[in-house]
Amino acid sequence: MSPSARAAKPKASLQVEHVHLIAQDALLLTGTTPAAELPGRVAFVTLSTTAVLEHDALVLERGDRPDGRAWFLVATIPADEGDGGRTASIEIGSGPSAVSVAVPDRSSAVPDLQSLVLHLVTAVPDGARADVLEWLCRFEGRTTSEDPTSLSESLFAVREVLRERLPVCQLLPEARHGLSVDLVLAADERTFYLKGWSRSAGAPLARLTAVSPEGDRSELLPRAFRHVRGDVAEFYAACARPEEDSRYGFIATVRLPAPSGRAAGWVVEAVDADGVGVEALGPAVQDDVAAARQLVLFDAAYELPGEDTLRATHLAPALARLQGRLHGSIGAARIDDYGPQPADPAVTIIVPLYQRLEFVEHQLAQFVHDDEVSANELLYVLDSPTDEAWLRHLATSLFPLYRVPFRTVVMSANGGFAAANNVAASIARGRKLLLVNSDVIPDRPGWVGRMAEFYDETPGIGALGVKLLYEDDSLQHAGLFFKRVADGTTWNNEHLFKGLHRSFPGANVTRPVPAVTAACMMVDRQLFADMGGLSTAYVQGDYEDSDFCLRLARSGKETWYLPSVELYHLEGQSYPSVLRAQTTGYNQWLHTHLWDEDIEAIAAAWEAAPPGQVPAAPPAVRRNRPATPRAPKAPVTAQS
Amino acid sequence: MKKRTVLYVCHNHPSVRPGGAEAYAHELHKAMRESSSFTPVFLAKGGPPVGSVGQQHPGTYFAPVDADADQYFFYTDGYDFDFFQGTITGKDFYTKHFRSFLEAYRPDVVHFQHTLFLGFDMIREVRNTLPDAAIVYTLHELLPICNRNGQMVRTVNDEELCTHESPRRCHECFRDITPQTFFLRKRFVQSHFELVDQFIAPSQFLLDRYVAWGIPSDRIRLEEYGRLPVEQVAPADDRPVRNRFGFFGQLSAFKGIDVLLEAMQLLARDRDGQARTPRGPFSAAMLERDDEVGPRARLAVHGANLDLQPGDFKEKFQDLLRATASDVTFVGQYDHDQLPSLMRHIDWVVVPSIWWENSPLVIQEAFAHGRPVICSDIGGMAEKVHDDVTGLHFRVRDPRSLAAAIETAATTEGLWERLREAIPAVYDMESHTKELTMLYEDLLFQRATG
Repeated sequence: MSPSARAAKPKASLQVEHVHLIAQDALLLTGTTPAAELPGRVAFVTLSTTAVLEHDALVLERGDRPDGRAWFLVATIPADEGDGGRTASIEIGSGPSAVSVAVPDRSSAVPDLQSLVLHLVTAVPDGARADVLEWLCRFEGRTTSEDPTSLSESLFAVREVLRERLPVCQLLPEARHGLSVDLVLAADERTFYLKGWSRSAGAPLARLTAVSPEGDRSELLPRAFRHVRGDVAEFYAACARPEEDSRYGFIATVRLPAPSGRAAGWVVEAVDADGVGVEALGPAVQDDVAAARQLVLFDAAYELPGEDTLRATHLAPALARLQGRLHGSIGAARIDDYGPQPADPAVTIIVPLYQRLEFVEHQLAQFVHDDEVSANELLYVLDSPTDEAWLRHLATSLFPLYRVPFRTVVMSANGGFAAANNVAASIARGRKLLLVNSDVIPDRPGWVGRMAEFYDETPGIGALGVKLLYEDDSLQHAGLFFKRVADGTTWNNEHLFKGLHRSFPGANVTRPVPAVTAACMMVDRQLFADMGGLSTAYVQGDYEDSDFCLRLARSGKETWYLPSVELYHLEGQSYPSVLRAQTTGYNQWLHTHLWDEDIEAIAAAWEAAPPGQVPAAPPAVRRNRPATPRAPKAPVTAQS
Repeated sequence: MKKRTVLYVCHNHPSVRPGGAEAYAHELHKAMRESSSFTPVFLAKGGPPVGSVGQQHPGTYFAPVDADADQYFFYTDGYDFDFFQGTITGKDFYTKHFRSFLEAYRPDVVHFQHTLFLGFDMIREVRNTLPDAAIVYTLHELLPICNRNGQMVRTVNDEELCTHESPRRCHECFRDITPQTFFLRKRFVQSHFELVDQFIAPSQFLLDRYVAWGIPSDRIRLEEYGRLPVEQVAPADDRPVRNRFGFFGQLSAFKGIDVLLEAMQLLARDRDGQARTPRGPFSAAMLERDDEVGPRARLAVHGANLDLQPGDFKEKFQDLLRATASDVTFVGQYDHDQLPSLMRHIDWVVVPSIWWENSPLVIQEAFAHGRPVICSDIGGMAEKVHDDVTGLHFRVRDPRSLAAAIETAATTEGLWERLREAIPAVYDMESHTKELTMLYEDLLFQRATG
């Protein structure tokens, strides 16, 4: 027996080899142990206190190191109170057999990645690297650190050491594998949208695996949506097999068990059934919400009409989280009052503003001749916060001239139509809310009082809409109803009698309607709050109104149309239309996806009424099930 | 009884640059100095774009006009005027500067002569600061209705005369401005007009246009421009033929000087070709009549600003002048003081404008000197000149029809004398100020009694 072998004789007790600070509040400990498990108790001990720590430990099953089984332990430790943690120690186990080790100096902000990596290379036995890596990156979810970056960096460094690498893919027409990652987009910290393409000239792919910078692995097969990539097909035209599937493109939304915050470092691995594989490095993570949203929306074009998989499985989950991110942190950054505000207003008029602030002057020039506006609360909410200086200039300039009191709310970020209204609603003091677009101009005074009066005297009412006109006195809005689009896949919101003259008899009937536009909609403030406000799932101001009316219908409330109130709605003036066109398709799909059965019932009742006559009130759909996503129904013709 | 104050607001002062509306407004102001019941104050917008020099003293937007106690310039330096909407975008121009002036003078009546370059918001500020003041607004032209400088001549259909506005029609004239924007413009102007107690239109034509546009007919009335007595009426020489014609006005396409020169050219051609120029209103049958060739018509063209016109118009004008040189004299620019001596050698005044003309002062000038007028048969011209009574009409934009009218005028014996006899006395400034004084008092009474 050599001296060295003697020295390596298994020790009888638990040994700590290294303590690494992998984030300001997280430690990685390594060592060896003769036992199959570590003691359950891990404590953080200072001179005055002892805190039992949440932790996670891994003991490698095979004790293939001469000095025992390798173990790894990660734990979140209490925040540094300013003493650099020099007096603190970690205690593993309890009683006389407990092992204690000092917590490293925390005064340095950056973990010592070099020593961590060097140590792990020796500490982790060959063949166990993937296991250690997988175990380690799962810990990330437990961190409460306010600065997850350092942890991500630590884990990335570890990944770079421990991950078994495949050859980097060379893009050559004759190569066995082709693989490219075109887009990695963070929908939120755990949800990522990946886009690229792959081709395997040999055996079919056995796996297509996305690896996060921190080492989390997500299998993309068979879930990923595959689509035709004409440019890739052209690249391989000379050597493609005749029967080759040209759906090289892949799109997949993956959900990680733990957050990933590193700006770059995604890798996708492609391995075929013969075990031959390549890997490709992804581009920097796209993290800007607005840009990300647009990129995802663009991809909806890859799906054929009537199909659902891409949107339901990949786009909607990503967009839902992007919308959530947008709205999660959004609120009122600033509120200003211009003029004396009414103490207990009956109505709060909420006007969202987006870029086209010149409408404020036009509205005030009309509101000034209506005492009811001054008697109630007028709330302008700015959803393009970069225009804040313009708004303040306008407000301070216009108020002394028009003397109509109003309040301005500046959103902390651009959140869209629904978010702006919801934030304003939370600030509103009126017992009723009157949502009004900035390009809505009253035809004559008295509209606020008339709407409030009708609302009060109509039992069971939820939302109240009115007659809206174009500048040539044609109807812009006389109520909404639902109709399937030509290919039968989705429902569209149709405007009753749109384009006909304001005097058209059918548009002059006060009645319940399937839905009304939020361009001018009154709703009780408490009811609005109870319903959770307008849905923020839709992108950029579309379908929130009918979604709201459908939710009202489910809770047994009716939506009414009141034609004796007439306002002009200079539609198309509030928003640039480029974004609209991209998003309408998605919003329409989502609206159908969420409400198909409800709309079906409401549309059937609506269409059963003879044209030109007053239909019976649409049935209030009362169901208690949540609005779960479901596949659209088989197409029906618009006339059915 | 204590004298009350009337404030006249105008877009320009005639001593900065001459102009019809400002000349009238200033004469009215001077005439009101004699009033026993109202003290007038004149507030004229100063500085660019009308004047060349802006704000005179730091820290104030006001300055007396050449040390006069009752006339001020109101400068707008540093403020942007939105010509389309008719508003100054920085509203403190109204709520700070104009308000300070109103608070100083506290006029009982504010009579707007024009709000161009000042903005319609001036009206609202008067109502804000002086709730009891009477507000009068004289509509000299059609700018509130028509974005094309109030001409109501369309940019489409070969400069078609416009009969009425609508957001769609206006958008057809200005394709890069949406109908919705035109709609908002109208609503914006009307919002401020809502505060005016009394509108005054100097012609029935303007009155009708504004009623059709939306001003309630009970808030607008016809009141012609009052004219100061003409110091020296141009004598009419005792001549057997009345064949001398005169044009007074801007040398622009809108004033129809090219139509007039083309008519002169036709007359010359007809004569040179030994053709018979028909007399009386034109009809095809006249071409066959075999009348004697009458005396040659002579035309004197008085006018300026040819240099401001587009190149192709200048060229056309010069070509026509050359072609008609034997019958046409180009006199050029003239001063208002010279009018009596210029008129002396003129029998007829021709007003051939190709647009409506709101209430053309040149017709009043001609009538003041006892000259019958030959004019286009539309708008303010046709209203002020009665065909075959105080002058002759011809079909607007039609040189052949104008040639026929000139021929008739030059050759019909006794016609000139008959028409001259029928010319009414010009509405004088004294009657005008009496009317306005009564109006102001009525309005103040109405405001005081609710």
